[in-house]
Amino acid sequence: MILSTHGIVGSQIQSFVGLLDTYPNAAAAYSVRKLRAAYTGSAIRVRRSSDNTETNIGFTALGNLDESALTTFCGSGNGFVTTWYDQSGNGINKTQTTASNQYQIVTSGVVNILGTKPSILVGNKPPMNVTGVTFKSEFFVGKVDTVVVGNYVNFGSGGGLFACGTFSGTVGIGGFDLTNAPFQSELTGRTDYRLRYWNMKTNKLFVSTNGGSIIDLGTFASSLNATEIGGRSLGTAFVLNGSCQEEIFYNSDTTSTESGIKTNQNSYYAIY
Amino acid sequence: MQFINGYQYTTEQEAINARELCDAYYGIPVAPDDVTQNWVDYQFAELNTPQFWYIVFDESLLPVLGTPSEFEVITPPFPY
Repeated sequence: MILSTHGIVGSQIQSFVGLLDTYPNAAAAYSVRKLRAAYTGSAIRVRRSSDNTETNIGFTALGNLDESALTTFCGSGNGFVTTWYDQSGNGINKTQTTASNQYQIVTSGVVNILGTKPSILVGNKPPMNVTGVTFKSEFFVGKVDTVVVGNYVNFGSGGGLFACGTFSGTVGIGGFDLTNAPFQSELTGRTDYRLRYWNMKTNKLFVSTNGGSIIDLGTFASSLNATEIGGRSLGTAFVLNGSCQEEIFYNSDTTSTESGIKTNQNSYYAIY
Repeated sequence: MQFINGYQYTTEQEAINARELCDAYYGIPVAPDDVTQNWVDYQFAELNTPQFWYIVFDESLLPVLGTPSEFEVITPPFPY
């Protein structure tokens, strides 16, 4: 009997291998799937709308989000994410302590889906907070629903990265380090389901989307420290208007692993 | 500049009081160790003159805070 590469093969149970097992040393990692074999924590903590109680939701044996536990807990109501747990081992969990600002994962008893996997609807809610993630690169799986002014995916005291920033009518992916604001125009597909990638090296910012080539955007900070993820708490024009399934941060140059990490993400989420 | 539909307060204490009213109405937090500590939060219109505090409208706030109003909040130009 063959169930999967990390399930039961014959009479033997093969060990689970996650993205972070193959590409370790992430600064922080948030996902609707299990990313590391040794990670024993939950994926998310959810508040249900029926009575505002909270519970942790983990993974199935195959490493998927436990949707059954999620829908059982939420019943016919809605479910909101209070905590998105960091699977890197660094304990930098994302939290949102205000109910009206919490991202939604269940709507009227149905798990939100993007592509074929569960998805967390950020909407235009304020960002979730973390103690601080110092990073040089980010891999983001999600979707921008509406092009607004900012669509920041993270922000901190030194600046942040954005998915669909708008400069005098031109929309692009890029970053802002309080001095420089390089970006690459996204003429098409900017509201498609996408894998977005940012990498800071040699004091330059490099970006790409899906399997596309990496583009040098020029001068930029050597790293950033995010204290807000999912936007910038400067108003609804600066937050991510969309959904997210996975965000992985590395505090190192990921040029050599970029292709492999993207392939791993695309194999699971079937983005492009 | 953004047009906000919500509730405007001249002092931070007024905004805190409004937030506490919402927490009491919805019974937040349900348990002491819950992550969720408030039903709604307020924001500071730092760039406006005079400055003020405000809560963005949500339908759940209608029975507690009443009918919202529309007002302008100044935000810096993107990306700054």
